[in-house]
Amino acid sequence: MKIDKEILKEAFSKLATAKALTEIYEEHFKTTSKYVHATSRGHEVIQLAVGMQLNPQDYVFPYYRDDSILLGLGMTPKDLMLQLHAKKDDPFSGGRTYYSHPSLRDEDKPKIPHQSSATGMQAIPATGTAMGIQYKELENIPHTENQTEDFELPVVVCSLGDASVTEGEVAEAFQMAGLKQLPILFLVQDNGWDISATKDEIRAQSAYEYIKGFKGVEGITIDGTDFEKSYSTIQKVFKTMREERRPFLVHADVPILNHHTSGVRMDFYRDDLEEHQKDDPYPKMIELLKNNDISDSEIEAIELLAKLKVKEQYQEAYEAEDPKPEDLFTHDFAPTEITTEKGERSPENGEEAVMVDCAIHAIEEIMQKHPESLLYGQDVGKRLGGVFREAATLAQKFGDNRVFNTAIQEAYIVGSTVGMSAVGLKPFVEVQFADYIWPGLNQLFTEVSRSYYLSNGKWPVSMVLRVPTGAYGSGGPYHSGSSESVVCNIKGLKVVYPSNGADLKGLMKAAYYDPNPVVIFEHKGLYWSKVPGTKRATSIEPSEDYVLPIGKANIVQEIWKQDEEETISIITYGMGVHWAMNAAEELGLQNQIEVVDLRTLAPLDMETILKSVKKCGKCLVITEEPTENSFAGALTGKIQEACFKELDAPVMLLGSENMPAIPLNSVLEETMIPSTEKVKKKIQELLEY
Amino acid sequence: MSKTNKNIEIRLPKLGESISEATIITWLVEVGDIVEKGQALLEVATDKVDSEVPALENGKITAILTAADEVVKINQVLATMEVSDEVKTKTPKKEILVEPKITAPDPMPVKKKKKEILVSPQASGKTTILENRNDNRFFTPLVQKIAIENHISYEELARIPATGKDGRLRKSDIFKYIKAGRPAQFVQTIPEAVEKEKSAQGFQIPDLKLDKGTGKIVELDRMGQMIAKHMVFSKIASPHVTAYVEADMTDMVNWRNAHKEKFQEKYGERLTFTPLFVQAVAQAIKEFPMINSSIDGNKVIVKEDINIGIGAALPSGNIIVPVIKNADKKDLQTLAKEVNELVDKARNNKLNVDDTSGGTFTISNVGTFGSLMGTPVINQPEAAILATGSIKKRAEVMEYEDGDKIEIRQMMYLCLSFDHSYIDGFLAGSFLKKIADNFEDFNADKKI
Repeated sequence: MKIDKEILKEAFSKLATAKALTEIYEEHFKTTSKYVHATSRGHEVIQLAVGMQLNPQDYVFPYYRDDSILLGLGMTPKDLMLQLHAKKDDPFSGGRTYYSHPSLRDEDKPKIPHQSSATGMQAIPATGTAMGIQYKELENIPHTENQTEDFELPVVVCSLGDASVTEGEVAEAFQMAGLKQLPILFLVQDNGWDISATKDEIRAQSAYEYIKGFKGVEGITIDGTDFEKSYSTIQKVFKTMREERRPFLVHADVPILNHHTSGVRMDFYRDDLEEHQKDDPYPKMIELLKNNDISDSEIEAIELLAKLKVKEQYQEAYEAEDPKPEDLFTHDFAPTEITTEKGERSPENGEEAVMVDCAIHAIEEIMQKHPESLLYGQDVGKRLGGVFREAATLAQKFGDNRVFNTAIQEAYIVGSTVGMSAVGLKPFVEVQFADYIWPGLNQLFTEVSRSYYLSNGKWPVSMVLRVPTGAYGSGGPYHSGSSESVVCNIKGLKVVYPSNGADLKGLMKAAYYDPNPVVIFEHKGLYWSKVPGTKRATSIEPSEDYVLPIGKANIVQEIWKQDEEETISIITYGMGVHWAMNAAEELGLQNQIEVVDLRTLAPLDMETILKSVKKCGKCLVITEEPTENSFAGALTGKIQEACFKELDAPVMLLGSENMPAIPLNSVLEETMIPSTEKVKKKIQELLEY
Repeated sequence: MSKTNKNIEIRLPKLGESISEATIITWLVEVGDIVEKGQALLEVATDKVDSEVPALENGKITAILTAADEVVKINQVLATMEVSDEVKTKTPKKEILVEPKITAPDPMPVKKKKKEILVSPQASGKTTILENRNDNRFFTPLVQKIAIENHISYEELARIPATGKDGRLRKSDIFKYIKAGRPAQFVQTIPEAVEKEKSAQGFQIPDLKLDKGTGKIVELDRMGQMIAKHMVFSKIASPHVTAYVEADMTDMVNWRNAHKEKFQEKYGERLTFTPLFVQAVAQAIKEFPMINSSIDGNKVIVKEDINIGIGAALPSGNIIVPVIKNADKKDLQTLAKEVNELVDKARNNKLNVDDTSGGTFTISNVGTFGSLMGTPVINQPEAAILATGSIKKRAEVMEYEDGDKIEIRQMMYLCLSFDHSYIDGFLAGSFLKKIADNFEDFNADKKI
């Protein structure tokens, strides 16, 4: 296949630019190494072959050695170097993240959702993007506003180093891509090194051999230094993907000619430098140009121009403005429209509904209205509708495309939402138990929670993660746990934890309409008010238009300020609300105990909390979690700091015992977790203090 | 009620040893009021203590002869009453509160409400307030904030009945107290309570924040600090009174001068005045054993052993008090030997704990500094201390059967400071005179 001369010249120009970038960074090593960076030297040709053939409707997930992909997309050296120097006008992140960690949402260029620095972790978000594209096509949701007949359907490229393919999460992505026949290309660049470990030390096979185990993904291996071969292979692959909508893996052998990063220098540990030098794509490219009747002088002119441009733009980028201290505080959360409680919380002829039904009905109402909403997770599909029947009937009503089962892949369930959200969808996903959120935490932390902030406001992740949580009677050590402290510790997430059906419904709606990721803890013991003393979890079901803004606590038992009585403000959430209400009632102290239901754990409604504590003079924080290093423990400290002068007793904390797990045996379980009785005792202690 | 009843006078009772008059604050009864024995009739103030005058019998007030703000003498007739067995039925008994004592002008209406709070939640009266002095002095930020906003001092906070854990003052306590009109706002603790508190918690010196001026700083060493504390404690713990007598030491001085060389030869010991003083004092104590005692609350411990402490200087300059045990049972040679040993040990910093403990009485020879007399501070927990002045020749009128003569005599002042809380002037004076007599009656023919 003959490649157009102009394309060759363009490719060479970009290759020369990439080489010049590496050279100028080394030349100014003392300056440029302030912030760690890696360049594509050796990998340029395969990267350009991909970057130059992507359309604006496509999505690409480059990793940190992919500066030539960025040049291929049309980014200028200055764009890249503004990020190298972490400048305010860095088009990707505003100086928030490293060189060649792009996020791009320009109208005229392929889209790049936020790229983290955790290798291999982009595989799941990228596959999620392809899954989102497929979903839209199956639901007949257009990719663009005026989508015509000849519109080239979008593809997704996920770029990986071969060493990162050994990571488990990459397997989840391959599995789903093959299973669902998603339009994704896994571009694997194989330079034989994993920083200082060689391929012989870290893998049993290359990505090309590995992908043979994933049915439905077609694998191709090529010489990634041969532009002609690379360009034509990618061209063919893209064409097939756009037409046949199926996944590929292209494995490209390349040398690594620059340092692993500016901080890990090749001369220190490598003995194969000369060998790799032989595979330099640069002279091969010049050879190709010459073979295509491009003159030496023209080649030289291209080279010279590239160097000059880089030199000039280096200075411009270096002298550009740094971010201001106040720039730290933007784009933590995208603004939401749901700021006030609206609709009828207790409609006149409303029916009582258990909490789990409030959740199902909320999702059902949303799905009826919004084709971009969908729900997936383990066992939520048609046959079961969730192990707690928390998704019951939804698949029957909305079909298998919109409500479907996933594999036991918490990482995929959580991380795929980044891609879903990138293409404009709004997924509800769930992990089956809070006890199993752990494999999903990596995606939640490295990808979901930071996307909006590190893309400097370009890529909010709109998703709702449902997490059935809490002890509900002999659930044992792997089905009774709570994990809100860990989740609340991840900034960039909103975390809600309702204690009753009406709140759950209102918050589920707010979470859906929120452009940010929302984790919603749903207590299994409250789902049906089955656990004794949880009648209050069942409520009149709010109206269809009812929304409850995230971040608003609720005073479920309000008292007057009483100077001559000892009064307590109980700050709690979830099951704690029920223990507190029951305890106050059994003690006959409803007039002395105020109960604040946080409803949202992040962001916290400190205003309501502090007002209540200052009014009451004493405060008890109740959590179902073990107390040490917990969300609730941190809250007591915050209250103490803000209310010190208003306190007539230390802020007290009641939670589970600080043991590693909730044991199976019911006696041990009761001993482990709080109860109405334990709360009563604590109330007495605090009143008498 | 026509039977005739005895009319009696109500007089201002003795309020204390040194109190001769008092000012009437307020009358609590009116003419015609039926009163019960023990009921407070009026409140009086003295420069030392505020007090009430109780009715001595049941009966009816027939006349009130004095008015508020009037200064009245001890034993002055204040009112008259008719004694009867009639029990009050008409007017409800005025709730008599022994407290509060008003010692400052009261800007707050404290009348009725005051009584409420004192009656509730605990028993009424003086004891309530005093027993409610909070031992738990921890105040939370909230309580302190409320106190600041209401201008309540820490002193007053400490008087508010507290119901929290370990006697902590709670928010509700302080608000209830404020609502009740702050009944303890101007209460002053009475001396008994202070004493009781002192014995329970140690004494406290009020910090008057005096400007101490500037100058070279000399640090007190540890012993100096202990002495300072001990001295201050002694002055606070015991009301000191000092009595003086003069003794004619001529015979004793002459005898000593005559015998000191021989004494040295015979016993190998210097003969100073100290063993002679110790002997005379020990003999006097045997006759007045109450001087050889310590007070412990309401009890006096009268010691069996007579152990006499004598002041001695350490190389550091601090004064220490080594003790001659069972001084009354030892002869002069032994006393002289022990005195010399102890003084030597003191000079060489070799005194041990046994040497300086167990004293029951102390002698301080201020005469060695050239002082004619002194008012020594009691070496606690002893009851008294004797200071001996310098021996000085003076022209004295001597009484002889054939008439008075002026002679040159060796004279010395004896000064006895004693704990007046339980040693009265008669006992102290008699004891002191006995010591002087022992000196004067010294057997000048005494052999060594």
